[in-house]
Formats: sequence, structure tokens, C-alpha cells
Amino acid sequence: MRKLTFLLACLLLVSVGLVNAQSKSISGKVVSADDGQPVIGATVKVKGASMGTITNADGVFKISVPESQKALVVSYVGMMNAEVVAQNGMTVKLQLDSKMIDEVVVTALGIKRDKKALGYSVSKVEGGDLQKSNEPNIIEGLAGKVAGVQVTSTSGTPGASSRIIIRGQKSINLSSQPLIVLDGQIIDNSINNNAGSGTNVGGVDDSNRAIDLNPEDIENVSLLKGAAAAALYGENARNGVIIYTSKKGSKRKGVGVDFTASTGFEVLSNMVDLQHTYAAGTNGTTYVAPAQYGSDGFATSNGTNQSWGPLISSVPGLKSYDNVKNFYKTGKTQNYNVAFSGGNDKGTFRASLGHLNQTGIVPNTSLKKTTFNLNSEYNFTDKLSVGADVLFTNTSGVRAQKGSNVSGIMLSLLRMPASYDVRDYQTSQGYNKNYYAYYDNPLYTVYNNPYKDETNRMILNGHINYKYSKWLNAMLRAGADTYTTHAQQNYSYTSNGNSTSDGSGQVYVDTYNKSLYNVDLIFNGLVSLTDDINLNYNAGGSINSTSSNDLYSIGSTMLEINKFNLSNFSTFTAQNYDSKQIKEGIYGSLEFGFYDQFYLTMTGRNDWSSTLPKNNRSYFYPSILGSWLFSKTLNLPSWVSLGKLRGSYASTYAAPGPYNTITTYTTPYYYDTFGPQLYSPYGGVGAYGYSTTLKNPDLKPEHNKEYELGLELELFNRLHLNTSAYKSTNYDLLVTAPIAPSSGSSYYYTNGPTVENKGLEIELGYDILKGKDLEWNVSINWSLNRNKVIALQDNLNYSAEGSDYFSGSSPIPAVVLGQPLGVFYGSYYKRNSAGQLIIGSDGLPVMATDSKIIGDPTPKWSGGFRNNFKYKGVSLSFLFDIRKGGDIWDGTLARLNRLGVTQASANNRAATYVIPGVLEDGTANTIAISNKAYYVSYLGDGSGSVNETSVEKDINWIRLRDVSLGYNFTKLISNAHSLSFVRNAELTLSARNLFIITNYKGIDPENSFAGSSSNTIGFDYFNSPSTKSYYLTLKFGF
Amino acid sequence: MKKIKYITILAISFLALTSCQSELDSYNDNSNSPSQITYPTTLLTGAEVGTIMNATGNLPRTFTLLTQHTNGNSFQSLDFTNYVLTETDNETDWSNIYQAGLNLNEIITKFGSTYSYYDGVARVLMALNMGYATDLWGDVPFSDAFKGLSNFTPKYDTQQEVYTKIQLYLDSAIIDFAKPSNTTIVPGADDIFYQGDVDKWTKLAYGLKARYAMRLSQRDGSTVAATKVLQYVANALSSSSDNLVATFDGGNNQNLWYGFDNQRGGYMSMGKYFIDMLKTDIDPRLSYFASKDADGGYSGSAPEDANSDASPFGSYFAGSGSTSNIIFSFSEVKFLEAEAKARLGSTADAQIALQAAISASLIDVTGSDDATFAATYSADASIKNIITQKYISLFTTLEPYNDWRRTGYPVLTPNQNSQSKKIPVRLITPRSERTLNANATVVSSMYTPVWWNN
Repeated sequence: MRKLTFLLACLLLVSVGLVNAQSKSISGKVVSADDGQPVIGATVKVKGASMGTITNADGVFKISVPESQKALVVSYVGMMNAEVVAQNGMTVKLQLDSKMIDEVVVTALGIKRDKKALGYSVSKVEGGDLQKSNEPNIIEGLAGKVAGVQVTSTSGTPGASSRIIIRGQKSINLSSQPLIVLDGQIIDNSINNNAGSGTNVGGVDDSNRAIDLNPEDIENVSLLKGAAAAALYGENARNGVIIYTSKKGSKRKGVGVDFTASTGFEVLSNMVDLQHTYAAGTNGTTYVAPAQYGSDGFATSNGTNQSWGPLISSVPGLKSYDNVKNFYKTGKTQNYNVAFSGGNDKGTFRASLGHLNQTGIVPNTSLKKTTFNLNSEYNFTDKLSVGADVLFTNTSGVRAQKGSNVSGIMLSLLRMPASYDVRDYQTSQGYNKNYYAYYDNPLYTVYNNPYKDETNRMILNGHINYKYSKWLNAMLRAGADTYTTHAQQNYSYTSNGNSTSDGSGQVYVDTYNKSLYNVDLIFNGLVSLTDDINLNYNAGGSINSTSSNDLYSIGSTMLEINKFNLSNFSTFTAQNYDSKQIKEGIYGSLEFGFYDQFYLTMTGRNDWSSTLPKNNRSYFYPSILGSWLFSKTLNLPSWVSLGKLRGSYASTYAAPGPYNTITTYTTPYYYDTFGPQLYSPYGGVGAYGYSTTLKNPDLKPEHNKEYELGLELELFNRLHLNTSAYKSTNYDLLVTAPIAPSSGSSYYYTNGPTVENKGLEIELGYDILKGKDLEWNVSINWSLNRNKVIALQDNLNYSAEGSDYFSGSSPIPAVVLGQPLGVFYGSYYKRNSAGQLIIGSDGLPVMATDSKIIGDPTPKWSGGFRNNFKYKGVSLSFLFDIRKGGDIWDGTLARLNRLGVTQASANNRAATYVIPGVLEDGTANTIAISNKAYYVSYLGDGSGSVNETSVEKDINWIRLRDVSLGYNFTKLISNAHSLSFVRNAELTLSARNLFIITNYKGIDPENSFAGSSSNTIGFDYFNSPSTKSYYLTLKFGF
Repeated sequence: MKKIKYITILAISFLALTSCQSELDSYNDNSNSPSQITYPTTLLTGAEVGTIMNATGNLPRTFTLLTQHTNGNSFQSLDFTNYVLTETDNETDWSNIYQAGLNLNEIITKFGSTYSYYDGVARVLMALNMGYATDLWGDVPFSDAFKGLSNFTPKYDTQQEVYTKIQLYLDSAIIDFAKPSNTTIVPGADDIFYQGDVDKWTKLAYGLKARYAMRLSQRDGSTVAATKVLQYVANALSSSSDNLVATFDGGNNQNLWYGFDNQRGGYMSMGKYFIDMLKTDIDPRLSYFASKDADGGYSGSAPEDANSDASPFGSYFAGSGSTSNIIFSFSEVKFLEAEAKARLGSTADAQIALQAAISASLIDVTGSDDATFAATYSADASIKNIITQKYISLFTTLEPYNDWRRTGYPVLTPNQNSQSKKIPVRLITPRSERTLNANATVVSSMYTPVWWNN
């Protein structure tokens, strides 16, 4: 407060000075030419003089003009400068300026700032670009559009989650994903592994909850990439902040109506190359018949999962089937949106209703989403305004089993011998029927083991704004984001999917509630310290609380066949888990502007978190940012429209989740490496065991320090360049560190490694043609990020990053000093000093008994390339998404090689191979091995194979992410007199994911096996494939 | 200025609100799980569940592959049959032993002085679990283990030290059980093995003392080991009703052999060597140890010629989700007695003990004795026959593997399809210990014998 008083005093002195000046005083008003609203804070100057003033809350100014000079220059960010003749009582209309240099962006706390004054990098994505992608998930819609932003989809199934990482992975145990903000309200984007999908690697593809938002309601997206941009949001903002701003109503006559309808279909995009010539079998000569089933639905013979049988053509009665083609179907999407909007001098509103109905390429999978969105703003007086936003969504899905899972569709489908027909999926009694008794038939599983979930979500956000004067504005904002997800997983009678795989059926029922509450009180204002020095300040406090509860029941061993109510089961497991945390913070920022050329911003924030021990609970973090518009200072050629240098330093902290400081006693679980687990209650007797994860009672928050330098240029009013270089260091990362199990516990939750991210980002836009009829612009974004573990703490050696690996035979994502996070750590072959493989007496390489680093999934760089053409009403736009480098562990291909289902394994079954290498005695290997041994034990993951050979190195891709061809025929129909009320009419044809060029042999290099809630990337094990899709969209505005 | 004052007051009150302490203090109290335990009861149940995992789960399953009782036909089980046992394959087994050990140690250190029966039971189970660890991995942490937050890198005790400590733990337990109970909190339903029957626990303690004394026959010498064994078996289990048995509720907790076969169908079947042996002997246990094969008979799968249509697991040990498994048996006590007598030259006494051992096994497996069969196969009281009969009778435990290493019986032909063509004689250090415990005694060869096997 003392500071404010001081500033106030300064301001008074300045005002007194102005009044005392000897000159003629005139007053006037500045309004926007667009909507007639007063322009607040516009600069009014006498031409050629340094003196000037700023308009007040009503857009009114008073200025003294010397006798000699009549011309005034009025300027405001985001609007064109106006030169007018000074007249008392005048009204100056300012035109909107569409040029980028005066772009206004939404920054921290929802405050609109002039982009040129910012000391950090902000990228903006227009709502239209989001909608062009036709992605129902507003996160996936950002893919390829912004430098330094990496979006990874889990799969192409409806509602599957997408992971977004800005400037590299910053954390191990905490989320590395940015904070998601909708109209000032922090919203939840978590992924909840609900019923039956307790792991990241099996179960189903759950949604990230940002999917509940409707892309059609989004006006634009601001991405605050660095920690400096986000320091005011508090801890999670170090991962960046994505600010979605909803479409708002505007002042107009009557009520505007916007209607959008789109319909589309999607098909399978990529698949591995499978053979269609050899039948089921194990020894190359004998056909092994599929599993046979008794009338009780259980197998009487098991069949085989191997395709090392004879030629299909050599076995009478056998046919070859294209099971992948016969399994997948065409997915269909319908999306309808209607919005009503309007406004007058007092207020504005927009209400919209959206409905999405999507069916997937996997039979019986779907996503349905209904959204209702209301945004309103009302000005009670010139000073007091109130706004309220309401978003209600209902999202429901039917999902299919995935991944490492005997009920998983891909596992059973890809391993299927070509001699079996996937459509033969049920016995005459309707029980599971498959080639191999231990897997569920993929068609059986999609129809009989559905996972259904439904989420009802309400996001409420209200604010009261009191504009006392231009130097003091107070806003109280409160919001709630609350939802309930109900999920149910059925495992039918005879399905192998229940936890004991004995076909006795199971049901998982889960109800999950989560609520986020935010309250912010913010004071801000603009103080003109002198004519040329302005101060923008913010000061405020916030309270954020998050709570959730999960109630979870499993019924096992069904009584009546396929009745999925808990009462129809004889064994139960029930669990509940409650979680709550609160964070309180106070913050402030001071932004000084000098001569409209130099800007200096300082921010500070102190947080208190309930999740930390008392001594470490409070932490303060500052940031300092500067920018210099050198094009205004230096005498540069006129074609330099804008030149700006910026730099920043920011420090942020992040607190752990709740309950991580005290080790507790929990239900003891004992896992059998390859079999079932044992736990309590055991035969009705309850038990406790000391938790296998120890907690550090002196836990600290994670600490991040980030430096950023940037250069922004605009040349010839055509070429826009925005580059950033940054270095971000993350200390005391929270980890569930594996510890030597002989301590009695397996993990220790504590502060661990230090990880550094260094990177470069370039965004380049060029308006090649800017004609009246023909426009062509290109935009390119390119970025690289280098991630490295630079220190470990307490001599703890972190061998595994989390626990998202699925069995002893796969590599693990590891944390290793000097390496990027998540390098693959796995088994490998012995080599001599010359690097040659050592070959054993059986002709196969000799495996080492230990593990080492065998791959790195981190891409070298990534980029996007967009072209926009416009000719009169026709527009064409397409986006290429490019990624270079990064390894993928392709466990899928290894397993398929082993089972003899890949085309490669069937090219020449009589062939023999000599693996290059040396025998133990040093002589060159000459031992020939059979085609089968080669594909099973060398290229496959069979006995004697190692993880190293399944790592595909340096995977690159170019993907045509989206293409759209639009035709705006407003003029065509509004010319007809009776249709003159049509404000906008547009027809768009678009396609997504049309093709991909890649050196990856697996299904899709983008898809992430472990799901987006995991930090694990680069693992492929029977991931669900992605899709390509086509849409037709019709838009009308009235 | 009035308004400014008003706003100032508002701001200050907001700051006061944000520094409100009560939520910050209370929100991190974990309502989901306790940080203190009042009685040892729940810990005992949990540790017994862990013991069941260690005694009937992946460990014995893996070693029945090496002893050719069973055979691995595909995936990981085939790897094991080919003697490919990496540092990650038995990581979980290692962790399970130490997880159970930690909770037993909690009972001993936090509750042992007050609740002597819990102390005794915990010590017996600790001896059993540490026996599994040291028999398979050799030098292992014991004196430094289970220290939680205060020691993440326990030093490794030599196997000799571990064996000494095991015997001391069993001695302490026997003393505990002899004390009159001074509290009403005694093991009951929470003791899923013996329901608090202290006499049975005492017998088990003696039985385990005999097992671990005999294990040192190569180290202590035949006579010393045998003399000790005879001393211990006198007080050990006296009938099959004293057996230490793992029960399964068949609901959430299923028999691990049965559960494995459901989840990993086709991975394993019965082994050719074992089934052929049973068929040759016309052993009445054949139809209990094995189920019928695809042709309606009994056959085993050979390591060199994996046959997934061979006999699956039998009803004795994998019949259903609630089939029990024996962890320690009266039969084993009698085998130990037979071997001790034989080693001390009392052939007649050895024969009597051997017949009792076989009879006990017949009762355990088939439900009834077959005196003729038992007499026939106990006629030869040589060490070779005693250990071979023990190999059959104690199938599903780790004892056949331990005895094979100790005595070389029965004579097994290593898998000729394997790269090494040698049956491993131990497990290598788990990856978690090699990479995370700087004090680990790392052994990276499966062919380095453990101390007692030298």
C-alpha cells in the first residue's frame, strides 16, 4: 500500500504540473469506430510535441494546445493512429488496426496487454484455426500450430487423450503439462484412470478433461510459453499457460444467430504390414486349428497365437482373411452448434449449444458431447460491471480395451493368424470365440466388454469489476470447476479380461468427483508517472483449492450370466480415496513503460501450499522482464515496421500433491511377476502393511529458474519473425525414486534430480500476396528442445521414471545423469571392443545380463508449415507437421515378428541368416540360423532376444495435419433481397491426417502407449492406431 | 479518499484471509490411510499374505522349470526353461521377500516386547523368508535390512551370517512361544496359517531349524548337520495336520498356480522328466500332480521339444482358485530325518523315516496312504533315493531345487536347446539392488554357487 500511496503522490504532482501549463485547453472523447465504445487509456498528443494525455474511463480527454499547433495525434494499442484537428467537444473515432505489431493478447490473470510491450513469448492461435482441425479435443487442435509446443495423441479412438508439452518435460512426478485457463478460470485437464483402467498401459484410452470444452466456443487461444509469462499464475504455470478465450457477444441490433453443422467420416490411417499367406501353427508344417469351445463357453483346446504354420493354400478348407480390414469400420462424426449473441450499451451476451456425436473406427466405440455455454457481461454503471460465464457439458463415451491386455483389441487382432476370420467371434451361445483361447476376440471384446463413462461438468465463473479510475481498477473473480464422472467396465462371462482371467466375469463401477475453486482479488491500473513513463501495476491475492473423491467397487464372479450389477456378483472389493489441497497466494507486478520504447516488468508472488511440511510451505518467487522496441529508438529504414528485443528471468515453484510427507500403512499388495496378486482382505481378514513408498517428511517444492531472450521483427509489413531462446532449470524435482528393496520399501517420494531444458523457437510468417482478391501467406514454426538430467541428489540413483512399464521384459523409461529424461534402459547384446556382436554356439548373439541405455525418445526438432490461400470467397489452408528424430521402442513389431505374423517374417520362410558378428573365439560368425529363429529370437522378442533390437532409431515424420477448402458465399445469397439478413455463409471441406511419411515401421510414431497422464513417451506396444478423417462444414450467421 | 480507505481495508482483509492457517494445517491430514498402527494383528496378516506369495508364487514356479517338474512352452516360461534368467525376472520376488520382512520387523521391533507370541510368529516367518532369499541369492541383507528411511543401502551379510541369524531367530521364537501370554492380544483369526496355535508354531520353528541345519551338510559336514537335524526333528511337526499351508479364498485371492495358468495360459505344462518318473513308478500321485493331456493321457513337455498339449497342472496344487498349497510339511520333516539317519549310518531307521515321509506325502497329495507303494519306494534308503523321493513329494516347494544343488539328485540332463546347456545354480543380483544399493554384493553369473553349495 505504501508504494501505491507514493505513486499516487507522484501522479498528483504531474497533474498539477499539467494544469499550470500556459495554453488553451480543449476536451474531447475518443471512441472505437468499430462499436462506438469509449477508448480508455488512449494517448492524445499535440503533433510534434512531447506533451500529451490519456483518455479516462469514459474515453474523455482534456489537453492544452498551444496557439501555434492545431493537430492532435490520438493513438491506442491495437488501433490505427488518428491525426485530427483540435476542436473542443470533438469525438475522435479510432479504426481497429489488424496489423500484428499492435496485437493485443490476453496475458496472466486475464489481463489484456499490448503484445509489443511484453517481455516474453506469447503465441496466439485463432479459434478458426482450432476449428479447422476438426478435433473435438481442444488440446489436439493445437498440434503443429505453435513453435515449442508438442502435442501427442494417445490414439485415434474417440475421446482418447492428448498430451501437450511446452518447451520440454520439466517434471517427473508432477505434471509437465501447461495450465489450462478458460476466461480467467483455471480448469481441470487431468486424466482419470477410472473403472478397470487403473494402469496407464492397459485398460482403455481415457480422455483428458479439456475435451469437455467445445472448440466452436473458442474465440482465440494465447499460449504463454515461458515461466516469466506465467509467474503470476503460480506454480503450475512454469509449464506454460494456455488461455482459451470464449467468444463473446458484441453490441448489435437484435440477436445474432450463428449456426454450424458439420459431418465427417474417418478411416484407419496406418497399419503394420502383416502377412496373409501362412496359417496358424508352430513348426512350419502342421496347421494348428483354432481354439475349440465346450457348451459352457470354455475352451476344450487352446489353439495357438503363432503363425508359423504351413501355407494357407496348402491346407484344404482354409482361406486367407484380411482381418484388419474386416475389423475396422468407418467412423462417423456429426457436430452441430448454434449460438445466439447480442449486446447493447449496457451489456453483451452469447449463448451457445453444441452437440457432437462421434463413432469410432473400432466398432461400438463412441463419444457424445453436449455443451451449453453462456457468456455475459453487464455494465451497471460506467464504473461497475459484472460478468458471468456458465459452461455445462455432458460427455459420454464407449471405449475399447487397449494395449498390454488379453482383452485388448490390437493385441488379439494383430496377432491373429490370417487363416482365422475375426468375424467368427462368438460361439452359438454368444460366448467368446477366438483363434487362441487366452485372448478375447477383438469383435467379441468390443461388443461384450464395453467401458462406458459419462461426465457431467459445470464451470462457473463470475467477476465484478469496479473501475474507480484509470489508475485503480478492482476485480473480484470467483470460479468453480466441478464434475462427476461415472464409469463402468464390464467383463463378460468367458472373457479373459477379468483380473483373474478365468472367464468368471467382472464389473468395475467407479464414481469420481472433482472440484476446483478459485478466488482472485486483483487491483490494477495505469499510472502516468511522467509524459513518457507509464506504470501498469497489478496486485492481488488468490485462493485455489482442489478436492476429489473416488468411490470404486469391483464385483467378481458373476451369478447370472452377463448381468452387470454389483448384486449379481459374489466377491467384492470396494475402495474410496479422498484428496484435498489448498493453495493461497499473493502477487503483484509493476510494468514500467518508457517513451513507448522500453518496458520493464517486475513480478513477485508468494504461495502457501497445504501439501508441504510447515517449514517449507511458504515460498516467494520473482521475475523480471524487459523489452526494447529498438525500431522506435534507432533510425532504421522504413521497411522495418517493428523491431523488438526482449529478455526475462523468472523463478517459480511447484508443490507436490497431497499426502506425500507422511508414510502410512496401507492395504498390503504382493505382486506375482507374471501371475495374480494377493492382497487383503484375505479370506475375510483385513490387513495393513507399511507402505512400499516411503515419504520424505522434509519435502520441498520443485524450483524452476528460467531465462529467455527473444527477438521480434516485422519487415515490409509482410514478414513477421518471432524467435526465442531459453534455458530452464528445474531443481528438486519430485520423484517416486526406486530404492533398494532390501530397505523393506521399494520407493521413496522425495526431491531428486535437476533437469535442464534449453531450446530455440522460431515463428515466421510471410504474406506473399496481399492483393485485394488474392491473398497468400505462409507461416512456419520450428523449435528444438534439449533436455538433460544435470544432477542427482542424495546419491539416489533413479533407474526408472515412475512405473509406467509393464513387465520385466520391456525397457524402462529411466532418469540417468547426463541423459534426457525417459531414455530407454533395457537389455542388450554383448559386443567385443570393435563393437561387433558376440555370437553364441546357437548362431544367436549372446545377451548381456545387465541393462543399459538403448535409446532416447526425445525428438531433435519439430516444426509446422502452414499455407493459406484466399481468392475472393474461396480459401485454402493446409498444415504440415514435421518431427525429426527420437527413438521408439517398437514392442509391437518385435512381438509380431516373433509370432510370424509380419510380412517380413513370411517373405522367405526357407531362408537362412548369418547374423554379422564374431564367435566367442574371435572368428567371424558363419552359423546360419533359420528364418524362424531369426524372426523369433533376433528381430522378435522371443527367448534370447534383447530390447535393444526393438528400438527403432531416429524416427522422422511429415504429416499433413489438416487441409481445408472453404467457400464463403455470403455475397452470393445476401444479394438476393429476401436473404439480405444473412451475415455470413460458408461451406468448408476439410480433412485431417491425410497422409504421413515416416521411416517408422510400426503403426504411428505419434501415438503414445502410456496415455497422456504419463510422462512416458516413445513406447509402442499394441497401441491403438490413428485415423484420417474428412469433414464437410456449413456455417451460417444471421 | 474515502473509497481508497475502503479499498485498503478490503485489501488488508483479503490478505488476512489468504494467510488463514487452519486449512493449510489440516488439509494434508491423510484420511485414506493411518500413519500409526495400534496392534500387531493387521501387520501379521499382511506379512503372512506376503509369505504365501513368496512360498507359492513366481519363485517356486520358476524353479520347478529348472528342476524339470514342469516345462516352459512359451514366452517368459520358455526363457526360464532355456536358462535365460535376467536381472529383472526375479526383481519382484526379491522385493516381496523384503516387503514381508519389513512388516515382520515392524512387529518384532514395535510390538515384540509386549506381545511375545507375535514376536515369535514374526521371527519364524522372518527365518522362512530370509531362508528363501539366501538360498537363491547367497549373500543378502539381513542385519542392515528393513530400516526404511534410515538406511537405503543395507550392507550384505554373508550367507554364513544369514544362516546363523536364521537359527537365532528360530531359537528366540521358541523361547517366545514357551512364555505364558501376558496380554489378551494373542494371534487368532489374524493368523491365517495356524489361527494362533502356539504349539504348531513351535513345531514349525523346530522343523525349519532342521531344514536349515541340513542345508549346511556340505559346510558343517554330514555328521554335524545330521546330528543337529535329528535333535530338531524330535520337536518338529508330528503329523500332516501340523503342515504349514497356504490357503486361498478363491475370490480376490486365488491360488497362484491356478491364477498364473489362467492369466498366462499356454506358458507352462508339466515336465517330461517328472511325468515319466511318476508313470514309471505307477505313482498314485500322478493324476493329482498332472491333469490329462490333449490325448486323454498323461505326458510331460520336454525342454528340447516343447509341447503345449502336454499335461497341464494337476488338481493337487492348481485345481481351483481356492486350492491350498503346502509350504512346510510333516513329510519334509520325515525326509530330513531319513537323510540324517542315512548320513549317520542308521539305514533301518532311515527306511522307517523314508516310508513315513512318502506316506505323509501320499496323504497330503491324494488324501490317503498307499502302504505298499510307500514301502516299495522306501526300501532303498540311500541318499540318492531319499532325495529322489523327496523331489517327487515336495514338488511345488523350493526344496527339490535346493536338494538338487546340495546333493546332485536326481541327476537332471540340462536343456540341450539352451545356450549354456547348464542348469543355473542361483539367481543373479536383481537390477534394483545392483543399480540402487551401493553396498550390494553383486553376483552376475547364475553359475557361481552359493556358500553352502561349495
